[in-house]
Amino acid sequence: MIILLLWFYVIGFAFTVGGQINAEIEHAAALHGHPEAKAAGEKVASETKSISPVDRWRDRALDSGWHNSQQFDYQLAFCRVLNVFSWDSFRRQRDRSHFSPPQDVRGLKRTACKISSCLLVCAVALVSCQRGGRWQGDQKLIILGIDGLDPQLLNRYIEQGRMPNFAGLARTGSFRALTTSIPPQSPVAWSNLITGMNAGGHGIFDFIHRDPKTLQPYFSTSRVEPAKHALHLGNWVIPIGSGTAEQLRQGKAFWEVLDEYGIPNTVFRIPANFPPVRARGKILSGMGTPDLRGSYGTFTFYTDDPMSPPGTVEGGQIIPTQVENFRVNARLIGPDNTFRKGSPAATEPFTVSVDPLEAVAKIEVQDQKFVLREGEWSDWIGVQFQLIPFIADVRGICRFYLKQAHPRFELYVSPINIDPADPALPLSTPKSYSRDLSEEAGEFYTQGISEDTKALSAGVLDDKQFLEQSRTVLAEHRRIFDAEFPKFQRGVFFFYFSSLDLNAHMFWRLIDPKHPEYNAELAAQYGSALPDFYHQIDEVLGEVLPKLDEHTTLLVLSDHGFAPYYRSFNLNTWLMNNGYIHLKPGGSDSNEAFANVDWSQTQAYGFGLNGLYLNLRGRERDGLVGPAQADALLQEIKDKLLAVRDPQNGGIPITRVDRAKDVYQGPYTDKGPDLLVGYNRGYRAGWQTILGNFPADEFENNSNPWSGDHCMDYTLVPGVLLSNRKIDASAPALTDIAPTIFAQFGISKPDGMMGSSVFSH
Amino acid sequence: MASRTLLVVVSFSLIYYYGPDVKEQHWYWITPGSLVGVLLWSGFSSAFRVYLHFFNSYSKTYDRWGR
Repeated sequence: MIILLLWFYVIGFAFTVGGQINAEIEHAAALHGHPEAKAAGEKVASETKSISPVDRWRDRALDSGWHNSQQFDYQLAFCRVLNVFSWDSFRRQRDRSHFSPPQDVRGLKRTACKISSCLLVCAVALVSCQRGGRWQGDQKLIILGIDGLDPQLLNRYIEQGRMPNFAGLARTGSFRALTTSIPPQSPVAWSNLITGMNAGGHGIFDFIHRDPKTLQPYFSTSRVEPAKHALHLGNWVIPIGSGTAEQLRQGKAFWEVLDEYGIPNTVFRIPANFPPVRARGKILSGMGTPDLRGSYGTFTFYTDDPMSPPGTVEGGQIIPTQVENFRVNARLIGPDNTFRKGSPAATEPFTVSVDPLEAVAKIEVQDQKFVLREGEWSDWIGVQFQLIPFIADVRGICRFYLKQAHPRFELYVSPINIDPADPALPLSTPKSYSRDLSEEAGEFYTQGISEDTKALSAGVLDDKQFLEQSRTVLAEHRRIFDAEFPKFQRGVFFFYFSSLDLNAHMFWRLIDPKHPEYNAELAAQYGSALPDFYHQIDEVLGEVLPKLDEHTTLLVLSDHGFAPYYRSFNLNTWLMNNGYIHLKPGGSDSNEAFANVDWSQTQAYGFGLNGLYLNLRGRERDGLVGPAQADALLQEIKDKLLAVRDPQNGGIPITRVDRAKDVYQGPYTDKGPDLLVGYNRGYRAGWQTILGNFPADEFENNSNPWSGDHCMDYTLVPGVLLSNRKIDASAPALTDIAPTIFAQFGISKPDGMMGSSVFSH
Repeated sequence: MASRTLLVVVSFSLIYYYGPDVKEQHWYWITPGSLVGVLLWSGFSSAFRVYLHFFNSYSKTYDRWGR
């Protein structure tokens, strides 16, 4: 209500000012010999002797002698601008061409031109001072960043003849394994590449970090804080001050250094860059970009099937619906509306009319109507979520999939993505880049992890449907690549593809008969999905290779390789069974992180996919372990972990445990885990243990479609590095890539950056 | 956008037609005053949008860890 009152006040002010201007003009016209103009205004001649407030300002200034100052000139010029505007408009309106303009107007245009010219010159000078010298070279560096491109699978598919372009590049150029990060997780690995430092330097140790004081998890790469203060007016909450979107990755990105030297660069969807750092190049954020609801992707599934349990599942929400008279009324769920007390989710209604005979439905969302057959995906549909009526709204895009029309109604709606054409949060630099891309190549997924793996894991999408969705993601990336790559003339062009990683995660079980979830029938249908994605990446490389010339260097690289994920190891359960974690009486059956843990007796805990932390005095809220005991305790836990054996098959689940201080360099070394647990191929930390929960068993079979992984011993899952040039480094690492980029352009490696160029220069 | 602008312009014309206490009423679609008023309205709207963009709090939702 207060907002509406404020709004009415503002509108009233606009009406008053406009009315006053009209009255002054009429009055001025009356004084200039057109008394009939008086009839159109409210004033009478005795109200003022000047023709307008402009003249009053002028007279007052003249009386005070103010006109001798420079300030007076500006004031007068401003008055004249006002006057010429009103006078010219008035003249056009009344067609009084025989009028000569009042005295004030003479010479106005010349003055205005002078001022405008001065401002323009100042602006150009300011911009020129800020920009560094332009680089004049003609070198080109193309980097294809292929997440999860595995050297073993690549070799296998090369041998099978599926990857002719990779085979050619490996034959005529170089092909090496690329040492990945510790731990080998994408945000960590790409941050190594971006900054040329390891986690101790850039501060990203995992997908998730914990606050040592609360042990609450948060995204490791970015943090969005609301305004610190807010005005509460009834049901409305008005923020006072600015909320912040903060990128948590430290260190300078390679494209920031390139900017300093004026080297043009385009960086498409590189992970760990949300919100994108300020840059001059064209940058689009990638992994780490949330959907409109602020999560890594939350789908919704509308169904009238009573067997589908309503509520929240991991990565999604199942909403029970009723089909009445072949019609469904439901609501799309948008972001939390923090302008409202209690921050309820903003929602928008939509209706589905189900054809009584055919497996077809018509969907109406806001002013859009479209028809879907059963098993059909919609295009991107824009949705406006209203936060404050008529004042504030936020736009997203989503896709609908009619899974079933009869006898059960089942409708999947993708996570609401931030609209690249009108982004609610920063997606790119310049800000217009995401809009330009969407205009040129169509709407596209903007959430960092676009493939909806959670919907497949939850059984909402099956393999076929997930595969279709994944293919759409790659098709979008290829469309953008086809639009952007031909524009590349010089400097650096980096393009990221996520498809091999996400599809290896989900389809490993269909290429590996040893996997507990292997299904021969499904393997016959979809076992070729992963190799097909590899082949598509080979086709992309096929577009690049003909463009190479003597000035162009090509790097094709991945952040890590891949391995099967057969068995889960529940680190926290193991720590509890070995006396390092104590629970309060009653155990822990809550899904909350570390619920019911007795911290006064707990020495260490697992958090994240590879992290193990001491409950360290002075760091953790209820720290128990003193600094003097830390080394011995870490060594003891390390030795015990390396001695663990899988009771089912006698296998070795953990092949490597690293001390943080041994493998990290940089100012953030102390912020990360104390031990990095490196799992053997086939093993990984269980889903529950990584968030501080305590499943009953230390080992579990992996029955999730998420069947391949890489969060293991980093020496077992290297990435790949291919180039059209001879790679001289015998064991190149991700931290060598930034120095390699700089060496290509003759730039010295910045201080603190590890590694060195993989080429001889 | 065009329909919104048209609505605002019509609002100004109506107010300036019926509002003043004058002997002769003339209908004008656009007058200098209405032009300034519309610009002010648009400016205030844009400023408020900018405020909401930079000083909003709906992004509070984004500090949650996955759902």
